Amino acid sequence: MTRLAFQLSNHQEDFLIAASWVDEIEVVSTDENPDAIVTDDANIQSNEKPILLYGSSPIERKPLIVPALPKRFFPEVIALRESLDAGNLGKLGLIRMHLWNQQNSDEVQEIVHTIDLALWFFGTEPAHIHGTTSAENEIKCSLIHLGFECGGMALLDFNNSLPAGDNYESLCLIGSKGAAYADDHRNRNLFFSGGGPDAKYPDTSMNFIGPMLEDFIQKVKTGADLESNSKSYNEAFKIFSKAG
Amino acid sequence: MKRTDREKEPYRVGVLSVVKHDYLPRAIAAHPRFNLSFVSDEISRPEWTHERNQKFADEFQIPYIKDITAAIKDNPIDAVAVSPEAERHCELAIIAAEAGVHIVVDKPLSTNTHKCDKLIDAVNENGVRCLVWNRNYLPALIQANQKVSSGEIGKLLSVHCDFYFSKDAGPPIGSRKSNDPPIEWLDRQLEAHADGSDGGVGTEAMGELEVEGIYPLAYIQMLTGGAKVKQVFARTKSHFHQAHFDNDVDDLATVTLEIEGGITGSLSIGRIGAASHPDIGEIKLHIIGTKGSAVISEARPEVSIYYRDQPSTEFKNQRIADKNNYLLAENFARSIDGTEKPILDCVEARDICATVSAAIDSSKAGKPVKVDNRKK
Repeated sequence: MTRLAFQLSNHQEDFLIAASWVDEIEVVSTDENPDAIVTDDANIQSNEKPILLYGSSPIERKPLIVPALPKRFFPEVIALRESLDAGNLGKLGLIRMHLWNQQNSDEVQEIVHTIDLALWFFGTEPAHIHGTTSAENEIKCSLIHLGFECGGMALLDFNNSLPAGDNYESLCLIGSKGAAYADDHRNRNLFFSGGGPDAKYPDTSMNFIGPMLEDFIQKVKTGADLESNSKSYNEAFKIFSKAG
Repeated sequence: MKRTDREKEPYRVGVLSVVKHDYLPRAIAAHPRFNLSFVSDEISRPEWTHERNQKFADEFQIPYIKDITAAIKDNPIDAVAVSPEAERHCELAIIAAEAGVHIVVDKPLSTNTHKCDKLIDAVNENGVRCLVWNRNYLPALIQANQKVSSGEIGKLLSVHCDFYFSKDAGPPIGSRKSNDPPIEWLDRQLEAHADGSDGGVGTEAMGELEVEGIYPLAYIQMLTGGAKVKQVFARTKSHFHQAHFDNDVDDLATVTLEIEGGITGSLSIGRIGAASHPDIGEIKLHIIGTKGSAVISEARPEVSIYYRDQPSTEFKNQRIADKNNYLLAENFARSIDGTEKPILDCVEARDICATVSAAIDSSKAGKPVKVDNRKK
């Protein structure tokens, strides 16, 4: 059993619900000597405890901080990763992603986490990095294009053009033996109330929390691999910076 | 949509070679404003080309003439439908332009911008129209274009096309034994004719970007209102098929596009294997404007049909209401009338060829490459 404390300014209840569904987690408060802490406060004192930092950029050289990499735990990503790992898709050739957000979204976190996802799928760093941007007023469209030594490629499209409401995501893996498509476009249901219908995705937005916490407590329990998230985050951030 | 003018005398069309797909001359033949007059090719062509040309001529009960110059000279025609091996598109189209007849030519126009330039010069000098085959009249593309051109999504900022054909192209990569010879491109293409996957038929090996890239790039060309691609960054790879690997051409490619007017774009394209999608493939457009955005599936509208003992090769989802071929032929007729511009003319197709060439160069160099667009 791992004793986790939660201190989040957003989604605290979602995290507590997700934690309650994981057998190996006991939820405690921060003053009950937790084994580890989950927070979105980058300035929190670790007191020698591992900290899963969600939704904030990590502060450099702060020990025991484990930056959350939430995209790795999205339900569709888990399904695609399992298929790839099982060899069903063959050798990975292309990752194509479209990620559209609102203007107030944290662009840096979104792009860094997405780059991490591409590196995680390919299991290596890119040999070629190219970025380009188009912008008008507050709207920015960014494109990051990565080439890997194995010949694989990733093409990642971001923008913050959407009005308040849902985001849009599309992830496609093209392998030598098969392909996998995870696309909000095909997962939307129609709701009619006059005029054009609303196309709504069933709310699964917080389903990543459970698997992400399970991964974190495994790292806490074994004490191993606690730095791997930081390394991955920093590598992705470096590529984000190079792509401009 | 516009009414077809059935009162006008149909234009007479010579078919210059029909050795690749025959969808183009079939589409022209099916349109009420055209009548096919003959099929022609050069006598020096290999026997397999004559067989295919003769077969088409027999079906349409028109003569097959093994001399293009004589066929055009001896038969009164208004236009030609050019559908030879991709590497001969410009060559045959130039013969037609110089004879003063209008041209509808299969895609891609060429892999060589110099050949395209010679055709453009001939078209301009002889005052004829030239339409290059494309898919811009698919229902979803018409819808997308209406949304963009009406200003509904505001100023266009970015446009992306994912264009995957889930088709095989011979044995998978890695299947060739060490003592086996490399696969000959033409042999593979001739074999592929049976299932229609011979878009790159000819002696010159062509990658997926060169064969099919014109389709998504023509979408982008139309949606941007004809804005030119200025610079590209690309990655390409032979990832699926032994024939592509043996002939050093891509079957998977990604291209970043920097377009006039501050527009960005991208293209991911591949011939990704029949197992990779239940239908012809995943083809989508993602469009971002200052006032709105759109996600467009090229296949829609479609119906899904499943049944016991359904052949594995039959698509479970079938496109419906697709009038692309008819509308292209209609556009060609109106272009000849002088009332419309070809929806993809040879200058636009030439600049798409330049974009593709720059992408291939970029992939080899590992850095961005400027696109050598035709000077105005």
